[in-house]
Amino acid sequence: MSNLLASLGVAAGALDAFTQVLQVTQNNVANASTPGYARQTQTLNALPFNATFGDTGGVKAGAIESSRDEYAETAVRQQNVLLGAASQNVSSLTSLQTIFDISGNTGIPCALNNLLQSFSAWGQSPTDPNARQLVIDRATDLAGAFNEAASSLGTVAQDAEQQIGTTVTEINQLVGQLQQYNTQIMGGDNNDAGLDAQVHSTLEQLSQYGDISATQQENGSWTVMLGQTQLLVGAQQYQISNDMEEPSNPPPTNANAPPLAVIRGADGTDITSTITTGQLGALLNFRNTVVPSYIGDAYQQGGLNIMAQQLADRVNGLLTAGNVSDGPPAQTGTALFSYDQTNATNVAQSLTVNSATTADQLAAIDPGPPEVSNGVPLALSALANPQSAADEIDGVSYTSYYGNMASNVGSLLTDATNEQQVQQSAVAQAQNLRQQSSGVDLDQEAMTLVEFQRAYDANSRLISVLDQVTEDAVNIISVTTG
Amino acid sequence: MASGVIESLRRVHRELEQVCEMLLRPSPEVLNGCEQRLVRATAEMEASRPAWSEAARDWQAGEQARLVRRSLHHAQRLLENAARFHAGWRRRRAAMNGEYRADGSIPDLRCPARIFVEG
Repeated sequence: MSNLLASLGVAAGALDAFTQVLQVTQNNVANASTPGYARQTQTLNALPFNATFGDTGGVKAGAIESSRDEYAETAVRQQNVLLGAASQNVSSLTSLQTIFDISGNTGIPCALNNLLQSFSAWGQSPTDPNARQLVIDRATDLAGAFNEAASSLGTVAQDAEQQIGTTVTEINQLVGQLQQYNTQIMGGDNNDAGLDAQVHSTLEQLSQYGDISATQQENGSWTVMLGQTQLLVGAQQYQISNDMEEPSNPPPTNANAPPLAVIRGADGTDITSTITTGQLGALLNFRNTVVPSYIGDAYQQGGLNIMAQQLADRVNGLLTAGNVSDGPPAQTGTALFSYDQTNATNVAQSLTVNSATTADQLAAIDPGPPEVSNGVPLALSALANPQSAADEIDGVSYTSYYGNMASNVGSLLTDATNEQQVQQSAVAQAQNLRQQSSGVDLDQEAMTLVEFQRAYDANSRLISVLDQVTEDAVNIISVTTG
Repeated sequence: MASGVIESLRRVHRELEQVCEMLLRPSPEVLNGCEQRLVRATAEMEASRPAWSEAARDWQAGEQARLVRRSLHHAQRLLENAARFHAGWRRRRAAMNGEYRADGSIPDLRCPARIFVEG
């Protein structure tokens, strides 16, 4: 009778254990689409069986084990950081590219071409008041085009500043959520699969913004870092902040230059230089490096300002060296352009045609000797195809200089778009590897790793060969196609 | 002749795009498949090499050659990422169990500067 009761007890225990297995399985199915959820397994432990000593055997439910692997989770987050940076670069550079039209139909290239043509037409009829007025009108258009480009670049810079602020807020909010999860975990929810899923989903979201690292402590809580900066330790959150600041070390060479974006840790330390990747790193690079290369900062004038100043100075120099009339006394010419002389980074924005300048004040006569009646407009029209260094900027014509700036933006955007495409597949690959590696059998894995190593070596060798062959192909085929 | 080179480069590009697609889910079997495609791509490039100079003035051929190179770099990045992942996985596994299997036998994958005891 006692044996029968023992058998019934074993069967009842087994039923309990299998009920728990079913519950875990049901939970896995129910959470199949829950972000961050990792499949769980109910372990079963055999009970001792020895009929002589009355051990009835059977099975009991053991611990519930998660298939989550932190190594694979980290690999996904690392790829997410790079995707965040690539996507932000595409977005920022797309807005920049719209300012630099290289079709020649609008903006600076169109206005510059029109002004150079008006110089040429004036050279054909140096005394024609209409030809002189056309020069003034075209110069006004060019100044307006510079103003508009500088203003648009300023807007792009402001947008980047706003996005930096929004990104910092989002980072702080996500870390705030993690802080709440930490509080729950430290309060006793250490094995809650739902909470674990929320933590990992939040970490994955956070990783697109910057170089986030997360380590789990013995008490189950998570410590989160942004580069070398602590964001979360236990229940303590350290908020970062953003600011705009004019650099002081080394002392600025440009007075009144636009300030730079700065990120600060919770203690006020400037951590900007440590944030080099992710969406925030890309935004900082765009705002503090890419945009200033066109509109300047405390240490550089910016390509657009350099072009506006050198063009204005060259045109003004030729006009004021010429004569409006032979006289006597000879009447010298008037400068066409003016700009803010106090701020080297404000030239393009402030470039204007002197409102008091009239057509009859434009000097056409080069006093020589020998005197040339249309010498000044001829010298001005030579700016289109410079023959001397004085008519060049950075060794090229003004048109080419602008074209180089525009093509640089286009090239950066092409690179960023390619990088985004590669990084999208790298994230997908890391997610698949995470799925493949969850809950693998270590023995089986050892066999697979041997095969993997052989296959990687073989593929790498072939890639190296193809790299050389395709480089040869590009060099030979593209040699005359640019 | 440029059209022949362009068509050959297109075939190489297609092979490399397939390799990129396959590398999204790397496994030993997939990597063997990638190897075969890379061998075909290499052979195709070598076969078309004599005609490259004749396509030198063709911008379409130049563009196609650049596309091939872009795909190759894409594949290279995915291969490196996957290799790095599995190398890290292997190091991690070695740290967990000294690379011994559950039955006590040593692994086929030997680690340099490591002594294994058999028997």
